[in-house]
Amino acid sequence: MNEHDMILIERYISNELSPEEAKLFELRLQTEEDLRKEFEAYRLALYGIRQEKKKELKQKFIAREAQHNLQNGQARIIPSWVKVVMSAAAVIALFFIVRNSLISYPASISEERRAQLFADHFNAYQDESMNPGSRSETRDTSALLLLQRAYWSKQYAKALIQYDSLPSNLSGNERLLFFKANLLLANEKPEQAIPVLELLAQNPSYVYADEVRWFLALGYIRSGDIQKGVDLLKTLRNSTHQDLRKNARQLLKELKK
Amino acid sequence: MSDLSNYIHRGILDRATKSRPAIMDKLDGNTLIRSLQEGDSRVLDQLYDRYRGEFISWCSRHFKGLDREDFIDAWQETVIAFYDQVISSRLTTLTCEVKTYLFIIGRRYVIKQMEKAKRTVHVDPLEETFSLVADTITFDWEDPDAEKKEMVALAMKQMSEQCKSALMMRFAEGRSVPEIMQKSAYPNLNTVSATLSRCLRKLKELIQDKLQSGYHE
Repeated sequence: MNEHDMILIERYISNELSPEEAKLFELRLQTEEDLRKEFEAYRLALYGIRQEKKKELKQKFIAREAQHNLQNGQARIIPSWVKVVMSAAAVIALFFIVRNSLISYPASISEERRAQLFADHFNAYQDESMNPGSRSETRDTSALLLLQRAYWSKQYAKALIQYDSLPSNLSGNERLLFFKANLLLANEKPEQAIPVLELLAQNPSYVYADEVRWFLALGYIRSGDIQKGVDLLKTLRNSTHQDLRKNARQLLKELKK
Repeated sequence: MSDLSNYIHRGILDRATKSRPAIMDKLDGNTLIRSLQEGDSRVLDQLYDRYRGEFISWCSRHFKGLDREDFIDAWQETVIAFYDQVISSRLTTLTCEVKTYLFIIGRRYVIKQMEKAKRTVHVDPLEETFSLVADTITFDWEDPDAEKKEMVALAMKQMSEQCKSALMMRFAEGRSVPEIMQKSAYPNLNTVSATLSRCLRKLKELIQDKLQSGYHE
């Protein structure tokens, strides 16, 4: 499938074609087998995206139901065997709470151990959305693209230098600040990364909100502020991001040692 | 630790554990549609709560032999279907009350559940007000076959959260490229468009790979 047709399909499913272009495209779909197959794959991708959204909504409503049940005193109609199981679970939970409170986290950790924990757990954030790619727009040599390229190829020292060359209108961009904080951490500058991450953590609906708390926790721990790091890691134990949840639990476990 | 540093830390912890309050007191169908189209998904929570109790009571009266849990499940599917119809522009205006519209969808979900479970349950005929608008609503049950569904789900699992987030904003929430740029703090429109294209192609390729390997196994 050529690039032109892929762009055409993407524009069609994004409703970006004019009515005439759309009509022409639909006609081609009826006659060109390859185009139809490619379009079918895109259609399935859209189906997947919409299903993902529905799944997200369903989870949200299930959580909302739990709230309703609590508010409306559903406990009154819970069968007795469920009550027995819940009581047992409560006792077990209480046991773990008491045990966890007895096994407290250390207030301070040696520099060597902090460096080790940080090295074991820190990986600068990367995902596909940050890939500078090989499309035509990447022929651009703007500071932002050079930064993205250095970041994507894990040349963090170079990327940090590149960051300082960004135009001033980009300096307050939250997404770039998140990269900057990662670069500061990767370059062993946690004290400078912390204020940036603290600023980003003020916005709970930020797309990287959980990641921000994870990196802030690492920054605190690296710089010796163990209690603050532990507080944040605890908030991540129930994160919807499976990896972060797992990492936070693992690091908390290691901090107890 | 300084007082300011502690204050910031407490604020971060509070925000990480609290949810935001609801924003609309009155729900009018067309206002609701506009709010959803503009990306305000919080009104969906209000809609969910607003008619939930009534829907469960109504179902209890009309569908004898089904559980309360079935009705709650149907209500959740109903609100999700309503959202999906608005976002995909299949529903742009309401000519009846939003409650009537939702109950008709909900009724069909309950009947579908009964068919799935092969339960024989007495179904009351539609009430007069519902009958008047029921025929005007088109209902979309179209789904890919089970194997394709599974492949799509597997491919989705391999996508990064940020790619999923960007794709959902564009193709499931109907947000424009400038809105995504603002919400996700992308530096410019080109980056958003390039990210969307790259993520969509990656997902499409994953699906194609899975379908090919799946069919050959």
